[in-house]
Amino acid sequence: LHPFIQQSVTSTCTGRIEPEEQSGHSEQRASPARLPFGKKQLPPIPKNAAPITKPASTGTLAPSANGTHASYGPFYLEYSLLAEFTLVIKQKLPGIYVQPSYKSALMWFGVIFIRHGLYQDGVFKFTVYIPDNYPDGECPKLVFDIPVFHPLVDPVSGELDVRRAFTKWRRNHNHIWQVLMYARTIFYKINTTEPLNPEAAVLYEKDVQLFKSKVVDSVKLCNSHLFDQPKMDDPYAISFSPWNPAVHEEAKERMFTYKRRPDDHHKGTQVSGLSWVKPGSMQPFSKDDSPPQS
Amino acid sequence: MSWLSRLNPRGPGSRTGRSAAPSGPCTADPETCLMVFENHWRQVSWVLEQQEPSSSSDDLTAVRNHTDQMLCLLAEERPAESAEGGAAPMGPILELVVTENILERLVQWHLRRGLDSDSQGALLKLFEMLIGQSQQQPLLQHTAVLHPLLRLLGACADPDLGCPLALENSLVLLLNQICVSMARQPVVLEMLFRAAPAQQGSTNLLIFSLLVPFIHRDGAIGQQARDALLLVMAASASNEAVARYIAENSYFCPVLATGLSALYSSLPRKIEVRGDDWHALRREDWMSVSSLVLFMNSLEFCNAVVQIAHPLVRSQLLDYLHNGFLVPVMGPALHKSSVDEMIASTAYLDLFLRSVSETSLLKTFLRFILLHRHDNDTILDTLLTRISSNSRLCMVSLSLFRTLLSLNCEDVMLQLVLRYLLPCTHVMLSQRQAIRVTDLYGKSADKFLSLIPECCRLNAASSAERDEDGAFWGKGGQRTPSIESPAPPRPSTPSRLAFFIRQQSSGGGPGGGGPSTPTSTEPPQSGLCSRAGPFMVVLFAKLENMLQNSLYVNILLTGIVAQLACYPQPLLRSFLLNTNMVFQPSVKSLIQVLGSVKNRIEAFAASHEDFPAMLKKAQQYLVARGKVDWADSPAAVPNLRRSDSLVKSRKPSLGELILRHTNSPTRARHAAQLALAHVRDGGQSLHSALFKGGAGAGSLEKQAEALRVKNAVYCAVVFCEFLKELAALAQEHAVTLPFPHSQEAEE
Repeated sequence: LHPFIQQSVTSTCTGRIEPEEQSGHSEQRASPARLPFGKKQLPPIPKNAAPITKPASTGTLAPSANGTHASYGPFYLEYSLLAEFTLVIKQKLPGIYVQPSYKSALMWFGVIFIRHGLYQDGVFKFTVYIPDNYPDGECPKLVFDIPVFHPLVDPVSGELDVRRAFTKWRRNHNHIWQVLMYARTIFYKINTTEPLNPEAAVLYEKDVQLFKSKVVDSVKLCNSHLFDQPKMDDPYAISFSPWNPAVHEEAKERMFTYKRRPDDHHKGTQVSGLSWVKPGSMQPFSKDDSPPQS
Repeated sequence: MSWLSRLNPRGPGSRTGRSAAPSGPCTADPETCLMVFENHWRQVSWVLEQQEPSSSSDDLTAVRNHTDQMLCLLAEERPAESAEGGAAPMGPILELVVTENILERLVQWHLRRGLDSDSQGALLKLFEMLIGQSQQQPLLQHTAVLHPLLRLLGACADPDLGCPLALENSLVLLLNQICVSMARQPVVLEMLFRAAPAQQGSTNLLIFSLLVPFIHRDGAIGQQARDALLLVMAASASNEAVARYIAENSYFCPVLATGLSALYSSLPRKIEVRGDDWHALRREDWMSVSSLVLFMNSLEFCNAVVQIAHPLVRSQLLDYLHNGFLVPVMGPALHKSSVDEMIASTAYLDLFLRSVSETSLLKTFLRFILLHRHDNDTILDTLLTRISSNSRLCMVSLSLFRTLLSLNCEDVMLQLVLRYLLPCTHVMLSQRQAIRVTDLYGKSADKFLSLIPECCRLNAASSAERDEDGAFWGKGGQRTPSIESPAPPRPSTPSRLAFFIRQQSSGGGPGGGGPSTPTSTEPPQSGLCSRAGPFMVVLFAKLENMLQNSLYVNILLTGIVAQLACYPQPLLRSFLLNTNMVFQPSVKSLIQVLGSVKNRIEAFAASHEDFPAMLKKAQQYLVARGKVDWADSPAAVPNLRRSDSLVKSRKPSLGELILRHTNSPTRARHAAQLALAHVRDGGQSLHSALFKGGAGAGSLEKQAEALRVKNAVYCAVVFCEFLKELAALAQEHAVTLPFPHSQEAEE
């Protein structure tokens, strides 16, 4: 029922391809069996299971009326995160790619491509940390692998100041895709109030030229580390490799073929079902008597 | 489809061993062969040229012997070396056959002297050998071969001479060979079609008319005829003229369709079954019933014809099937007044639906079920009401609906459910926008799980041993993801007081003398609930009555509700799985129904102090059944259609339900039966446990009570698993995304 599991985001991105769309589904690679997100059965006794995400504070998990199902908490959490990931995919955020880590559903790896503006050509890898009492806790943290020179990014830790945009995290209203979207926005619309990097803020206000050159340096620095090993030792960490036609050409071709013929997938999705209902009609067999597409 | 592939190995090449003709000189060089041939021909023609057709048997024998030799030589001849790859010129023997019109003269001679069946048979075999063996040259493309062949066949179609019974096999085999050959050389079809009526009698396509009467024949001869007809169908798929001829001038379609009617009428009216779990015909059930095998062969043939024939033929056949079989035969059969006949016809219809693979044929069946009115009611309406019956009729009907739902057909869903939900009159106005809301945080799942009765959370100890029992619900992966686990362990001191209070409020538990739920269930047919449609009403009514249903009814029933809950349609999803939705007061929600079942189970448990022990035994029994199911190799079950829809039964049917005898038990099957016997013992011990010391002859009343207890205990097990399944489904919906790439990526 959740097909994206089988084809979760590739763990190899290529430096020079920047497809317009979320490419979470663009490449198929043999990936290690994913314990947390694959099809699975619940263990007989939930508390004995090793849920993907070992919450530090079980007490606050998935509160249920009488407490009888608290032991299912980790599984509710996992599904909630899956649902969040589904929403991310639906959003098709421009230039942003994420995938949950192999080891924990609470940690997502991501990369963001900046296409114009001051940070043009920047490729910034980041990690999203979701609190284990999600969705009832604080807002998720977003930390850049390399601290980008930006007023809202901590120059030491690389953490983005997310909280200013989500002062209080509200379930059903706030979603992780909004955090990702916010991370993209800051590179296009610079905000200098209450900065985590005062130097950047001051320079932007007082000496834009110097700010710009610092940004260019920062972008260069980030991009020069693009092919480094991922910071996190995780099979699903995002890693870049130089363009290698033998590896990448086919994947690229597939991506673009799909883009050119977006109608194809309609045929694909119809395979399992039948219908002779004319669209808009409530009468069975109201479609013209032409042979049905199958 | 297996039809065509089955034909391939039966090429002439594989039959060389059978060939009657001597093959001595055939390997010699072409010139020698020609000389030998000419020699034979000289002697034959001497006989043929006699003024008066000889009646001497010596002459006949001589002609036959020589003809045997000649045709063998012809069959083995290779074409002459071609210059520069052009069409290979005829070999010298064939050239002689053509210029002298040898075959025509031979056949004419036989006809003139009066064709006795012996000679007729010999000629049929001879031509069959000739066409079967002649791999090297396209003999049928020469009128000098084709026309005498047609003349011979014409004699077989002659109303006076006809084809003697003893020659039918030879005739069909020859026709089959012609069709195989035609399939390789499409031009032959055109030639056959255009051949002068002189050769073919009154028909344009003699071979076709000759084959049609054999369509429904039993055994190899019927199979060969159907194979041959399929080849004609395939060859004519793109030939408008031939297709038009078949549709307008042949009896092919009516014979095929009305033949099904005749075959149907000879099916058993009553299906003898012993197992109380039987609910659908599986291949192993019907393979031993010859009349059903015959029917299924013909149905399979119809399916194949629909698959490959020209659209003209296809649509005509579908019309005839609808108007000549479904409406006049299936319709009344489904409305027979005897329950046994209803059961049989419902099971047959279910089997047919599962066996049909061609979309347009399926459409014909569905159109009949959804739209055809028999006595003012659609077939669908009639079938619906039977779910509420209390017998095996309920089970076969549920099985049929399971098949219908597994088709993932919008038309079916529309008629069953969606047409009632679409106006949204079942929800409060303020709730309409909530229909699309997805439950991100597992609220619904939590709600479903919270309905697991306290009394069923006790047996944590046994759960460890069930760890590997994925088989509990049947073969893993066939159904929707289900959570294979018992409830989380809970402290085991249920509040008796609470139970009693609930029991009072729910109007008396089953144990008490209070008004218990009637065992024969009539659905609450008030107009009130019809806002969700009769299907939902009848399912919910049956569901509410779970405690009284048999184990097998409950497994089928919950399976169908789960099937519906899988459907990725916001209306249906919100109706079944959104536990926060507020419906109109007249519309019962699934969660309300389940809540009521929960109360009943708890009341029952409170009134039976040995409930925990019985529950555990019931679980063990079901786990053991699941293991037998594994042993019953699924490979034995044919994949008639979608593998998932075919036998999704979560239980083994095993030999007990065989219509007559179980013959041909495979080893795996045998083992499974032994295993089942073992399980049965376990069932017995459960049974005796339920009787609790009442080993004496139980009165009817006692037996009824024991059955009631048994049903209730099994119900508790099924109910808990069902809740987990619903919880899992509710969660899956939140993470489901129609993924445009999924098909492609899976390649």
